[in-house]
Amino acid sequence: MSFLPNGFDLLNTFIMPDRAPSGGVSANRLTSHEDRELAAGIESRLNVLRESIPRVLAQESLEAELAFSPQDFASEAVQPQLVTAAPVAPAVSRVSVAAETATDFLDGFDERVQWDGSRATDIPTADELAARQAQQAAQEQEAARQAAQELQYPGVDPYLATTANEIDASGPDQQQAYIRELAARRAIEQAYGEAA
Amino acid sequence: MNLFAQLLHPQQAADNRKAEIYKSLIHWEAQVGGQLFGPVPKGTRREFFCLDENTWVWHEEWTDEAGQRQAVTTRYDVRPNGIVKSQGSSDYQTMSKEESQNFFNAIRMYQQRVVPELERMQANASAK
Repeated sequence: MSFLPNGFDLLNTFIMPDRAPSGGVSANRLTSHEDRELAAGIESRLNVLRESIPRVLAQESLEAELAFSPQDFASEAVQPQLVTAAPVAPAVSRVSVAAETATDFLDGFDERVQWDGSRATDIPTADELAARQAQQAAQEQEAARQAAQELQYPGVDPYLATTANEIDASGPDQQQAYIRELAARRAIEQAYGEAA
Repeated sequence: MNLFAQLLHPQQAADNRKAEIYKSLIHWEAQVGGQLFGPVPKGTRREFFCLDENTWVWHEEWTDEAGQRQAVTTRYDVRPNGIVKSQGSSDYQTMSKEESQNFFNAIRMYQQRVVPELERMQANASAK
């Protein structure tokens, strides 16, 4: 059954009140122009409703997905839902702390957990950072020193072993190879010197 | 607007007519919407309608025990991150879970009753 048995009652009652002083005017007396005006007005209202109603009901879906209590959060049963329901960035963090209790999560979220899921405690202090950098530099220097030693021919001074005459006597390929080796050797020595 | 004014300012008359139709449709929707929540007590005026794409309105008037006429207008604002309501000049409030569910149910019923009727009337008006 239609909610309004006669849709034209609307016209008589509301749209055309001046035409229905006694309630007896039929909508058939509307002119074609008035019909077009009415159709356009109804279309306008329908457009508003077609825009608004899905917008509201979308909120219902969103609320349903987010409808969990802090106690639910610690439950394994709801964790897959959290991943899909929460905004993308927070979801990563929530998964990363899923093993914690809800209270710990809520209390410490801002301080200890970053949006990318890493923990704030993983961020080194200034002193720790300086120590790490010093350690890394020492390791690099040690590697450079060992590389320089490996390039040293036992008992032979590389500079004395190769004279200008020998370079001249060799072919172009050998000269280029020597130049490259010399450049590498100097670079290694420079690094070794800085380490020492 | 009288006949002389309509003849003198046809565009303004058309605009006024358009606004009148739109307003009347909202008024009709408000009455239909007011009946979605069950029988309206005698002496109570209840309206519920969609004002625009992001706003829904509940309006209720009644007479209290002291014989004073009371009225409350509740506006529901649909925002990307949720729906909030305001009553009179008070600040925005979030809805309780139960109120939210009632609101969503009302919207669904509004859709089921109002939209088909509008479509039917539109078809009738367009067919002539």
